[in-house]
Amino acid sequence: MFDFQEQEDLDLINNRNFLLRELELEFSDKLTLATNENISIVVSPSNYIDQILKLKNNFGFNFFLNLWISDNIADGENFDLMVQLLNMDTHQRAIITCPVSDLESVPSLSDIYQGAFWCEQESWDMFGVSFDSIPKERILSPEGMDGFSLRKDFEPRPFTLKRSSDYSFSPDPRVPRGEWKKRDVLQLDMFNGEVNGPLKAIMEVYDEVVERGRLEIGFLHRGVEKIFENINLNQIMPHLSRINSNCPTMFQQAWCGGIEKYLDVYIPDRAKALRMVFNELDRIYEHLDTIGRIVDNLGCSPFLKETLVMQESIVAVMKKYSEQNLSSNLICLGGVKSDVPKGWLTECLNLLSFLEKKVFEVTKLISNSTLWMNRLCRFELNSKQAMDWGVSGPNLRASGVNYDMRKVSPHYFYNDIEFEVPLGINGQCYDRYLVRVEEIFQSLSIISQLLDNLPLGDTKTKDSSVLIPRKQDVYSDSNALIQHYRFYDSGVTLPEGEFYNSIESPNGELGFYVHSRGTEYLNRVKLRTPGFYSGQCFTDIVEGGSVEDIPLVINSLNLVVGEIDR
Amino acid sequence: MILGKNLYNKSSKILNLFRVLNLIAPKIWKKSFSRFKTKSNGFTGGAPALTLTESGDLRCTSCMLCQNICPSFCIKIETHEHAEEEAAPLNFDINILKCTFCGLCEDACPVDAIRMEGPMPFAGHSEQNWIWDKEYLSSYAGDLKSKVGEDRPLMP
Repeated sequence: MFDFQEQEDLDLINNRNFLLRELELEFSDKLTLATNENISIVVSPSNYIDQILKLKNNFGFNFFLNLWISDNIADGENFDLMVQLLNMDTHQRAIITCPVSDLESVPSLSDIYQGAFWCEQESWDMFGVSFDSIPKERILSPEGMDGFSLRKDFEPRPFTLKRSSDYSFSPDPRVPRGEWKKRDVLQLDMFNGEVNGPLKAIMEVYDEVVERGRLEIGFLHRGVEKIFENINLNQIMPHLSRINSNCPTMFQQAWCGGIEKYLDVYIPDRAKALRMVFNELDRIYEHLDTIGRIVDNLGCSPFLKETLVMQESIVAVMKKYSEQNLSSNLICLGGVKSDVPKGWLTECLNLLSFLEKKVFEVTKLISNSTLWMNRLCRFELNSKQAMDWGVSGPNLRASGVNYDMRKVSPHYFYNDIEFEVPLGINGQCYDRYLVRVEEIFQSLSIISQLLDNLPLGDTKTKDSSVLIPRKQDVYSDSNALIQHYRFYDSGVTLPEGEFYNSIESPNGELGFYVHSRGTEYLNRVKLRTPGFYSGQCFTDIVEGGSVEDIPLVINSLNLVVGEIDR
Repeated sequence: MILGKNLYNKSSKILNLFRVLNLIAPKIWKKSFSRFKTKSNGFTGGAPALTLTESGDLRCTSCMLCQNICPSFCIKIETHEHAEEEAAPLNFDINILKCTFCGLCEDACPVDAIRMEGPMPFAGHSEQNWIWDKEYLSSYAGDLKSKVGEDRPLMP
């Protein structure tokens, strides 16, 4: 029998090889193959825009992933501008590096990829590298601050906070000036409860209809990337689970998985399966949270109570594993911290059947009701806009783009497990809601398949580079005690180099770029959090809506502010 | 009897007592009869507390592992002048307002001197109350034997 799946895989490999050969012909010695999925290209500042346009138009790198700056003052050079792009046909990622300085302004990418706008604003905020046509405004750090906080030579000094009260819009070119003068500017401050964290929406309204709008972020900025440069690898672990408290194990998985891949550490099968179970439980929790918030915005409080009960039941089961709520350090370097407690699997299976029944009950009542359809069948985001902004995850799939990291570049056992990728059609709030509901059912089926075939064996690796000895050995054995001291004193040291690892988190592609100089502390860590990119497309969506629907739009995109502000 | 409903049926007092009990505390019933009980795995949740040896001294040997690993820098240890002779710390302060209860100090301790099992009273009058010294941290040491699992035995 002809195997279609095998043929597709072969085609993918052929296409990727063809692309790599073409790229080699074009860029020759400037191209290096870092890992299987990543290539890095070095370009000079003079032809930086040309090369990126060439990559977009000739080589199909049409999805913008990330843009960041790395500080090279220790080397005596200036800054490195790094742009990460994705080719969606062959799943090939490329990092383009370009040396820049803070004296001259760099040509802006925001005409080619719209999603680069906030990234370039952030680069000025953090490093002082300015871009053409990008306003020099603080996006994350407070207005009136001295210096650029992610530079290596930054020293914090006291400053007086400037409160910028000017939230005006530039004249709208689409309407005559007399018409534009009639519009009002409205600010909407939202705090926890309404949306997931503090946010500010600024809108230009005429007769209660939003003509233009944008989001103001940075109220929850903690400087996670700077903190990561000043603490060792052990101390980073508890910080990870607190970036987005709804899905802590996703961040731990992206971080630990990347380091394990980089150090080439073998993870036992049981640990892999357990990590997948935690991740999928987190995905369900985050989607339930989103649905609950949408329900709350529409004023249907009985259903909010139902979703909260479901979320609490997940927390209760996780608490039986680790004695803590969701933010436990269950995933550690080299596996899972502890094996499954006796009787936990039964409770988890009970939870699955409870959730399936309850989610079906609730969504059956909501999904087809007139109120729900009337309020949610609006605010379209088409697939071209979504890809331009760099939106990923359920928001991208709701616009009809079939791209799920679990399918296209599967890690662990996602290859062997049967599940489907739900897709929307119009990219409306309703599609985003429906995609999330269907993803909950798919996650439930993934967990049940995993628990049915849970592999036996250890949950921690025996590799000496990341091994933590067991406690009872530490108490009795002197060799184990020495290793224990070595591990907790300096932590794991990464050899010199860089890597990028990403997974499919409930909101989209979550990635970590890490650059190490071979010392105890890391040189640069960059988080690619999905909310930072879906936050920008708010501008496109809100046009023509009414003011009362703003929280609804934000919650349907699921913007978690802890994740956006970092 | 009104329309077939047995509103005024007589029933025994003992049966009614059980019915009321079932209403008030169904969890007690279910727990005592349920076969599946998850057994704790050695993970602990709570505020940090110091453990004592059988003779009543602190187990801590001032190795500084917990102070160095704390991600929020909330532990402060001062040693004796002659640390070789007297290993126990002179001062052991935890600023509980900074603590994130991540449990790394518990993992790092090689002599099982610190445990995340203390009570969490989250109310107080002044900021001074939130810097816990070694006397306060070790005052709950007698209760710290409840959650001992396979992965986390007590230090012999």
